[in-house]
Amino acid sequence: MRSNGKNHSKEAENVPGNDDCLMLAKKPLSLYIHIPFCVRKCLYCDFLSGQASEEEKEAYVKKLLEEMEYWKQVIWEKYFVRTVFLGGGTPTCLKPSQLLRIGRKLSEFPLGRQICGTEKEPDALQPIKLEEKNSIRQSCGLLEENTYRQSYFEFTVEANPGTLTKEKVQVLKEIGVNRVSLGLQSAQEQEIKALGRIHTYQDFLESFELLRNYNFQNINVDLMADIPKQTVKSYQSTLSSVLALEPEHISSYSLIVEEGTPFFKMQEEGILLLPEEEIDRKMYCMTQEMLSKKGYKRYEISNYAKQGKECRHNLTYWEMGEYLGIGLGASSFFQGYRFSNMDRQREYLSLPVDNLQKDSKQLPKKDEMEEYVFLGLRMRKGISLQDYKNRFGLEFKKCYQKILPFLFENCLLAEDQNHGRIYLTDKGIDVSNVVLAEFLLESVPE
Amino acid sequence: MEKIAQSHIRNFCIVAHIDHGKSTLADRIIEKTGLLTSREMQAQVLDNMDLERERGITIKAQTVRIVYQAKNGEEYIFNLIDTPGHVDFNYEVSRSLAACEGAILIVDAAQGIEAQTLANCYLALDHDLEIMPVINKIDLPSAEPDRVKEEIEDVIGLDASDAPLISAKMGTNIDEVLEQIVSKIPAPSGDENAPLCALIFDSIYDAYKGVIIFCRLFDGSVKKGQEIQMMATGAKAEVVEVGIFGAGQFIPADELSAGMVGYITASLKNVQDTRVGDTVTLAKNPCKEALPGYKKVLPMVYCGLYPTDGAKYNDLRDALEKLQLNDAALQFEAETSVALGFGFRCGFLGLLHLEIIQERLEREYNLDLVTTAPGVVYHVYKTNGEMLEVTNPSNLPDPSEIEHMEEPVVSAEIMVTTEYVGAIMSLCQERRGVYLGMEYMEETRALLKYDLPLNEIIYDFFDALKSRSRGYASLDYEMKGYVPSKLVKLDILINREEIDALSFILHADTAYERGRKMCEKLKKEIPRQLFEIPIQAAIGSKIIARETVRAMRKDVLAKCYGGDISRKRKLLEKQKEGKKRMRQFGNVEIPQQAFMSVLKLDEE
Repeated sequence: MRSNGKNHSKEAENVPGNDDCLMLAKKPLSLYIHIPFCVRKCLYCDFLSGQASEEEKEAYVKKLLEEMEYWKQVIWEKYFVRTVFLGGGTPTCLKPSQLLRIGRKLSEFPLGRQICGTEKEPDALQPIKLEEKNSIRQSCGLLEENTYRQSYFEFTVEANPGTLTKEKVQVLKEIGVNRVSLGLQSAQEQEIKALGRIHTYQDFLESFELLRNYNFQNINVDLMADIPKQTVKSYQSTLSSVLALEPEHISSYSLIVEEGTPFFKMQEEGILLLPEEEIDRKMYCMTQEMLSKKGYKRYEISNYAKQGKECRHNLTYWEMGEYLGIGLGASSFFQGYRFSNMDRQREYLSLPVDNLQKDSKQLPKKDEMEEYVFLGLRMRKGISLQDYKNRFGLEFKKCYQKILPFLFENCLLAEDQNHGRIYLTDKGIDVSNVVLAEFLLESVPE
Repeated sequence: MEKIAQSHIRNFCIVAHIDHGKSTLADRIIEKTGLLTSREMQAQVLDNMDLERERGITIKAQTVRIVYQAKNGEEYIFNLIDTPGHVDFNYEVSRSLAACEGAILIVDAAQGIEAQTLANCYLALDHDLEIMPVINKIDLPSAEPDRVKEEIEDVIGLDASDAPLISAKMGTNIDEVLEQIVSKIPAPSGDENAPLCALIFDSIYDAYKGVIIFCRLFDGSVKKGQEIQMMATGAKAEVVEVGIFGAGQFIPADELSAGMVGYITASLKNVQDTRVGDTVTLAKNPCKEALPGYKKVLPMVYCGLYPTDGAKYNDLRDALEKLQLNDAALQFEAETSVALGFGFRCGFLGLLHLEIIQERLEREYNLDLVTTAPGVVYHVYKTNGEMLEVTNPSNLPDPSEIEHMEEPVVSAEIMVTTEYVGAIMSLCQERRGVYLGMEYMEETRALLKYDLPLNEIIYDFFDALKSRSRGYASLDYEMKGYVPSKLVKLDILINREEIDALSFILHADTAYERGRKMCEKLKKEIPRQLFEIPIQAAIGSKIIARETVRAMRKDVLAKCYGGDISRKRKLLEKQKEGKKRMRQFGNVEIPQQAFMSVLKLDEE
């Protein structure tokens, strides 16, 4: 059985002991692997990461491999891994040999079909032909609307310019990484500096070129708006510079000043000068305008991609697919439970791998319904009314009959009649918290 | 129980300015008399309401009976009657004093005499109490006991030469206080065989026992089974139990007799029948005349109380009824507001009383409330000769029907160190005060006398006084009467809709200033919403001030990092929680905080 016309023998190496049919009978899973190390912490960063010695890093990698082995056995029978996201921190601050070990361990997992070598990646938005769908359905009895995505495998690594060497890029290629996310934030040196980042724009250009030379055909560039002293003009210039490189994916978030960061302290002291809200919205609008002209589609509030290059890993979160978080403090949503790993290094390193999880909670129906909506609405296409009904046995419009008229009348929410979907309007995106908070329920509706 | 001779009873109270250590001394006295072990002592035994402990003030009069083994070998009964410590409760203070033969006057060794020291001391002298000065806080580095002694002698004219120098906090010299209570405070001298004559100085409602009357017997005696009568309210009931006060508990006794302080329960269901200051006597054998000084306390300050959730209206009524069982001064009646729905117009003794009731409703009865601007009782004389008492601005008749209006005025005494006299005088001036005079208590301190309109001091006068004198000024006041005044009704419009709950009556000359400040304050309190919101202040159809809350343009979008959605959930839940505390007016959401915040306009 084939889901598409791919050569099977090649994949067999990458997917030990599995064939497509078996894989389709299994459920898709995403893996997030956390590397809590970086060269230096940025001034705005409140993620779980920091500087560490070589010994600490090595101890951590060892533990990570153990944890991966544990989960591999847990999921073996019922799941296959559709996406992997190696994030941090800065994963690329690990040694090439460490990256290689992580990659090798990963290759032991039941993985989705690997696209490798010269093989052309299929277009994600080109659904499987109907007859193929039927044949899959007949043989396996399991097919989701998005089956076409299951036919290949996405493996993203986050990298910071300045940490990528030839050797490391080679290792990434070797272990099957097919998507790299580069944290640039800005093309203006003084802005990069204001954020407390370690690299220059030149470093970024070199990293980008290096990745292209190694035939990485799916690169994301992270940008940031609301950087201290940033202007609409400087932001525009950043966008232009990045667009000239034609990355497949661009994400641009507004800076958030989080408690506990140096920026927070600076803000308290009144010495952090951030652009006004109006400026922020101008930059947001401009992002959309400039990127859409170049063929990028805004598929999520802050994410833009060329056709078929949406980040499937993130879509897993927004569509409430199952994922496992491996590593310090990583979050999981697995078999109806949300849990996260210990977030103290000492505990993480010392506890047995089957006892690393805390705050495990079976997601109550109410929470699941809420999360389905507030995560789903982050996507430009929004949520499917039919899918909502299938999933919860309830009519979306009935559940929220009190608040929907207000949201529609104020043009915060809109309905795509053709596809039976509800999505946030541009105005709704601006004030998404106001809108999304309305979808928290007092109780599960009758 | 063994009957104690009147000669071995001492009935006294402690009077002091706020924070001079009244409750702490009470604790020490109770501790020293050995009625409680140190471990049983909660800090401030007498203040048994949580709220009192938190605020450090005594709201309801409390009382305790303790046994003291004096140095002369004899055993004495002390009845310590604690008095409320705030000007709102002056009447209750006066009734507590009337139940005593003596008073301990505490003066802070560092701060010396303050306005309430004087006011309370004079109040005690009015009741012919023997006053026994005590100088507290001698452990403070800034203590000047000799200067304070001199001050007591100069200002009050009391002999302070042998006043005990104590530190209630450290427990220093408490024995001396106890010995002086025996030697200086007179024993009661009532006639046990005369008809019962007892003063009610407090009453509380207990779910099991009904109303419990706290009283001081001057003549006669009372025991279970007798029928008693309140002379002012006329209520009659059969005595179920009499007894004395342990610390925080009631100890039943066979009989109460002249000179004693104790309690009576008599299957009464409502404290309205047992008003503070009333005289208890026997229905069959009444005393000739009631004790002097009874008056029905009238609320001075009114405001509207509304449940946030309209469905809680009945809960609010039940809660107010329960509180009223214990608080004869609290009054309420149903009213409706366009903006706030169904609620109650409530009358209080003062702003503190209001805040306490509000907090108790929220804490003990778990109600979320919206409070409207407190106002006083205005006398409105209509052109048709009628006089209306207006407590709710919405009930003010059309200006064309009003002949003139009168507002209540208090006479205030403010004690302040001389360097702040100027600042305080200008504050009183701003508040439309009429200067009556100034007396120097000593070189560095003066007593300012003013007539002030009550509606100028109920909002934030006390706070302003403190901030302009760096905490050195103290205030005491009493109701004086009504005077004609040029009053207007100020309305607030939000998004062009009049919010009746924000309307209030004030003097025409201050309307512009206050209107402007209210708009500014509301602008800060009303969060930005999806559209622009004008806030206007108006007198009649004339807009006198305006502010605008700009439309919200964006909110925070957090990254859903590594699939950790708990943070996003928390953010949204916080957002939703914030919305719950808002009230919807048309399209505008107004946080409840905004209704209270406009009451404190002078804080910046």
